Amino acid sequence: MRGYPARGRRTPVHGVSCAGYLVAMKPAGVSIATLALCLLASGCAPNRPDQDAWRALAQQALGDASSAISTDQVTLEKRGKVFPPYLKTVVIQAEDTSGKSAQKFASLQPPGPYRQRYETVTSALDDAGSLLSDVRIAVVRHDTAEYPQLLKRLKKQSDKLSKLQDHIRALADDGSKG
Amino acid sequence: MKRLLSVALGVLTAIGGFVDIGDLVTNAEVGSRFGLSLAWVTVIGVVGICVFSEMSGRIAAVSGRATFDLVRERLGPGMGMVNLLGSMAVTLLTFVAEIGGVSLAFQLITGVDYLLLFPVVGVLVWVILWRAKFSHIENVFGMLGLGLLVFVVALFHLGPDWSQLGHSALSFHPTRDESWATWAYYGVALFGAAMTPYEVFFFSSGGVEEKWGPKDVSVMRTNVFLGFPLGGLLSVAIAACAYLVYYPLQASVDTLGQVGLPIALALGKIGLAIALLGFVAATFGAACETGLSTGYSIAQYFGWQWGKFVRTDVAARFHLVILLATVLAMGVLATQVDPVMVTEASVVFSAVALPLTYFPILVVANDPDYMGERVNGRVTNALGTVFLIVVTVAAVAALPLMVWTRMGA
Repeated sequence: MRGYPARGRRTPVHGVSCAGYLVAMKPAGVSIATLALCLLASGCAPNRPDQDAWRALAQQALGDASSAISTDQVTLEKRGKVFPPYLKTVVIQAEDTSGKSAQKFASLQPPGPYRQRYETVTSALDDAGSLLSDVRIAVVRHDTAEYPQLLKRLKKQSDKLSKLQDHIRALADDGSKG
Repeated sequence: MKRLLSVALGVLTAIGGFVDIGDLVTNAEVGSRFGLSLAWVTVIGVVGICVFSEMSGRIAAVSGRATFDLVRERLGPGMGMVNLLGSMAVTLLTFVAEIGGVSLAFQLITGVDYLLLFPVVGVLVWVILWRAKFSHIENVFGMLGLGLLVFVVALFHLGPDWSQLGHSALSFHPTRDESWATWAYYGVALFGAAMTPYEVFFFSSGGVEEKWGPKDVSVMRTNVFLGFPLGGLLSVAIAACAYLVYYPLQASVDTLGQVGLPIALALGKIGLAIALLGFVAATFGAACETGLSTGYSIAQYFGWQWGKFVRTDVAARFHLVILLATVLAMGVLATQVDPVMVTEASVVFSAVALPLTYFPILVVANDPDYMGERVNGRVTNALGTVFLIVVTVAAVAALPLMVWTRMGA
């Protein structure tokens, strides 16, 4: 469901070594070849969203992590109402979904003013990912003694992510609070 | 009495068979993010599928021939091929999603990763399509799919504030800080989920399989006009349950496990067990229907012998298409693509393909050479035309919205 930003800028191509061939080609051929080379070169570059897109993607990654944390929290609280394989599957999938989203976000090139915010967001996502892994480990091991402590941590992490989402929402284009 | 039982069975299987993986995931996701503000789309989608299913069922009952059988003859091979390619691409995508959905449902029951389960599920689907009788496939999965009615029971047990639910259903705008584009994207997805093309292929071909005649038109109409709206009600109940549990947490639904969680919270393990049975039946039934639909469409277009009403060796090419479609679906799932993501893509692409599916049905249903005195009346034509405009708007908007919103992110 969650995709990469559609408005990502691509890195310009440097050092095209086959310029001679391009000159000799027809205009349409040159265009196609240039496009192909640009695509090949840009495939090696990180995605560079603009500031609006970066904020939206940060909120999305934080939202996904927050969703996963809330789902784990509800499932653990009501564990007596679900079957053990169901509990296990829900926490594994929550960790997986949040992990993929965090990984996508971490691979984006942050715009200049957001360098420090990038650290803050990725650090929060790492903490959330680590907590989701702890929950999964405890559930798979049937380590029920760990659950009360994990529930406290899930609540705390949920609040933290929520505050950070509000903070990112309020940011202006220069990276300061709007 | 026998006729009454036949009608009751038809209505029940129509309810149980209405919901598939696309409806389950899309309705729950929409409910968690937008409350019931898009419930009106489901209502419109249900009216639309009723209008066109009735038409395609009537065509099958009167002419004794199924949709694609007539599309090529009436509109020519070129237009027929465009129709076939568009509809087939979406049906195959839906087939992948349904096999993935069955595997995910089994994962929730067994705890075994779906990647280990989908090959077994794929083989099982193929064996059933090869060996089982058409009526058994339709009735068994349709009846077991009624387990999903547990969502309606859970909705009452969750103790909602009904006025708040009503308010949400009448607020025709996005919630919280969601954008209009995202809201519209999910509207199109819900519409695609409600009006999935394979439903009419299966319905009309099923009519031929069951040897409907003109005298069966009234029973067919009862099934459509009672069964589908009740199935739509089930879709709204799924969205409402997700809304009550996830919306206050600001959590969105991304997995099938999350879809079933409100049932567990409301009804405990017994409710959850019934819901899981419903998940398996709904997705398995839909996998069989989409698998059969691929065979029906291609065989009918090329004029091959098709159907479950003849021996398998007589309809060998029809069964070969089903086998190839199953292998293809398993190949796609083997790439480890997320079945929920395939599901989300399939409902949006369904919306794109809707005009290709429904326009020919409207044309054939208006042709007195095929339909005789059972040709479309004024009201049906007016509704058909209005819905054709609606599906065209949805089809045109689907892809730009998909790109603009990054698939509803």
